[in-house]
Amino acid sequence: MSETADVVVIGGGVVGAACAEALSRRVKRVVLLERRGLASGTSSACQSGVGHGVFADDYDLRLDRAAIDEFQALAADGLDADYSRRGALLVCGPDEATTVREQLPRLRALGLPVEWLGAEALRDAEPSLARDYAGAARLTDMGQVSPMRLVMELTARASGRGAAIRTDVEVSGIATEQGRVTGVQTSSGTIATGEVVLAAGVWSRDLARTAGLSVPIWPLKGHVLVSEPLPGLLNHYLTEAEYEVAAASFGKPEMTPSGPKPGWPPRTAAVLQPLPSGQILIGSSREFASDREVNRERLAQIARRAVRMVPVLAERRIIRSYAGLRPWTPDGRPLIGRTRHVRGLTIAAGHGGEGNSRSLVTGRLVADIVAGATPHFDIAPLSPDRFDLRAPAAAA
Amino acid sequence: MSDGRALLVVGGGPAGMAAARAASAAGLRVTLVDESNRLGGQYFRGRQDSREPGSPHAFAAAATGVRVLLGTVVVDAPRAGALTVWNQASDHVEEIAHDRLVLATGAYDRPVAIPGWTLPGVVTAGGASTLAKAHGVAPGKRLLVAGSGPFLLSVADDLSAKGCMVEIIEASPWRASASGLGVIAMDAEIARQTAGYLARLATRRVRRRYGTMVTAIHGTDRVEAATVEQVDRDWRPISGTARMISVDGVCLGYGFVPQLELAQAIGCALERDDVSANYFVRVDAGMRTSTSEVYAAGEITGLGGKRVALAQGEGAGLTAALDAGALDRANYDVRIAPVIARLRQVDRVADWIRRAFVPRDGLWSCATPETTLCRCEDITHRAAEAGLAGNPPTPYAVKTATRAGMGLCQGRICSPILTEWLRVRHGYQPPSEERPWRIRPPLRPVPLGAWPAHKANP
Repeated sequence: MSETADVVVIGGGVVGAACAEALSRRVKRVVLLERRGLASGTSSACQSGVGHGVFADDYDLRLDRAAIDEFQALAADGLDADYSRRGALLVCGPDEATTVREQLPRLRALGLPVEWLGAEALRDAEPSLARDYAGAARLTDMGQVSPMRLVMELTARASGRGAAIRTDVEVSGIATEQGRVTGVQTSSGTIATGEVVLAAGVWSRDLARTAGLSVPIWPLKGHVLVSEPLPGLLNHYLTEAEYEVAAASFGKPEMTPSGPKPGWPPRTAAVLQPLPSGQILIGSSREFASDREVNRERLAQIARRAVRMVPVLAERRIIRSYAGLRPWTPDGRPLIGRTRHVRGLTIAAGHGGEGNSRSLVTGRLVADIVAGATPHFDIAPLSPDRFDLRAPAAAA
Repeated sequence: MSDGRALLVVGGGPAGMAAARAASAAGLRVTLVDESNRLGGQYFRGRQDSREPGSPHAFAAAATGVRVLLGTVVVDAPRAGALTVWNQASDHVEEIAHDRLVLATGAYDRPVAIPGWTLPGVVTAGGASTLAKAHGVAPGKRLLVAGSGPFLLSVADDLSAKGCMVEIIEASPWRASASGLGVIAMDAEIARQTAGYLARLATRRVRRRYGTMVTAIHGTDRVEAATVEQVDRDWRPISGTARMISVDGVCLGYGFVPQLELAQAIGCALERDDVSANYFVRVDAGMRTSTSEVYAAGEITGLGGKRVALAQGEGAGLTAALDAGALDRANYDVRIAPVIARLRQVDRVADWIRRAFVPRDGLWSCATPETTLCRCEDITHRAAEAGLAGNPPTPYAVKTATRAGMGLCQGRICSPILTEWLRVRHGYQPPSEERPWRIRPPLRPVPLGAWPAHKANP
């Protein structure tokens, strides 16, 4: 059986779905391939934030700004996906307050609205918080989305424009001839195409290897707990500044040919996200591991930090927990763009914990790239070729 | 401390009590946990004084030496050989280590999504029966007991005893009931029980209608009426037969769904029975599951009712003792033989019920687009349909698009509805060896301060 497509998107998570949606506006025969169900990987095992960093460098913050703009544009165009922009609080103890406040003018200058809430204003804004915080930065443009609904809505839009969304189709290889993509081999036959978008998140490294590329994307595991519905308990999405400050000063793990060197200490922090259902997503943790089993010790660490932040949570019930894999890259930036090694291949992967936030902007950039237009945003710092993709393939 | 003889039994109904008793008598150290504050499970709920075989009273009288932990909820299966339990009264969480485990977690009333099923006054048949027996309360004064199977007789008996006006709406045809006359006649206990029901129901003028189904329930703040229609052999309404009956309560009893969360979390192999639209834990003749050192008995292995549960429980307890080396083979053979013979005998009626009163596809066609599918997240069938949006029809796709199954009950109520609705209306093929939805800890809601923080090391 042979089939042809103008572009094949590999991966049915938020990034792949956003790519398919954006491509379906500009390219005729778009085919999206997902090896299991839509949003069955990282996109159903993450949290819900759509936002921006605080300590990130200017380029990343500009990308975050563009990413939020994309959400607002699509929301204006009828996207629901439970997207809301009700702001987040970066909650600071006395030790972090100064460090965080120093960042605020820079964030404002980059178009990210922020305001400082002192201890009293913070108590008014979020009465359930523990009383000993010094204040918080209110990050006005931060929001939340349901990544699963986002995937479903984006793929429905894409298929409404004629894109084919295929689930339970496993890609076994990206076929190349003389350095150019010729097709995609799948569990249900080969699809001939000159354009492939690799948007398979943590699974991108294995797929890239079939095209002779060594893409440095590694799984970073994160845990989340889900509370019973607690409507009205929290007004904002809450993050501990202690975590952001510490994360900004964490060293990079040492790299080995088979990935980041083990022994990098697991990190946990309270990241509380109230959902429209009233449930609260309680995260999060980061550690190098490639399985999705929940580690009870990690859950306990998250629980302890969450209770420290919002003490009444100790008496509220948890109904579920899960772990997912975030695609980590050595410099913390995604790989978005073409590679000089394989013509016709566009990589859109390695979004770390920012897959939700940056999904739509990635889709738009990828559509520009595939359509041969100049991207609306400078993507040079995201080029996959900033890494040596011809490095010897690491042992699996 | 491990000499291989520590047995944990989860579930204090007939199967669990029988397993605990047999294993303890054979020399195992047995701990029995149950969520409720009384032993007996669904079957004996509200009848704590019963002297029937397998009753809590009989269990206590046997002075088995079993350590019984009531009000104790299994919230996690962190690894082989340990379960995490939460005691509701003390809010204490602990891990119980064991060498062997018997799962006897029972079943709950099958949820069905017919129009109006979420109105106050609509209850499950099992729930209504428990309320009547334990608290002397009925869901209304004029009631329909609607569904399928002999259990309806028992529920109508309990409710009419409280002075309610009751009518039984049995979806299966009369011949389904008649087909059991032979097996019932050969089973003295069931024959006596059935005759008792029928005599009392006749005295109290409880009408029974066969081949009819409640296809919609009406009311604004609570139940005011129900539409009853004659149905064909697939339980599809026959046009022109609809009648509106004025009632203030409807009890729905379309059989049961096994409580499989723990078995699933442990990884025991399941199998789907397409006929009864259920998944069961797969067991061998000795009640061993596919997971070593884990046994299962009672409703989770096939919905056989109390007597089957008692025999299976005893079998599981004996096999656990054999595998632990507490019973030698010869001794086991002597003790298991009468259990197997009893099981074979009581299974005749159970098997008839299993085959004659299975839910038919028309049951899942009653829902209109406005009918609620997922109660926790307030998702209608229309929203589920819209959520599919051309994607392959799977429970996962609906969940992903709509959050159905992601609320407080974590799909206990809506997943069986969703699975069968997708099968009947969208041609979905439920997987034969695993349920199409995942289980993640905790297995029951548990306070964040109790689990998992109890293990935290500062």
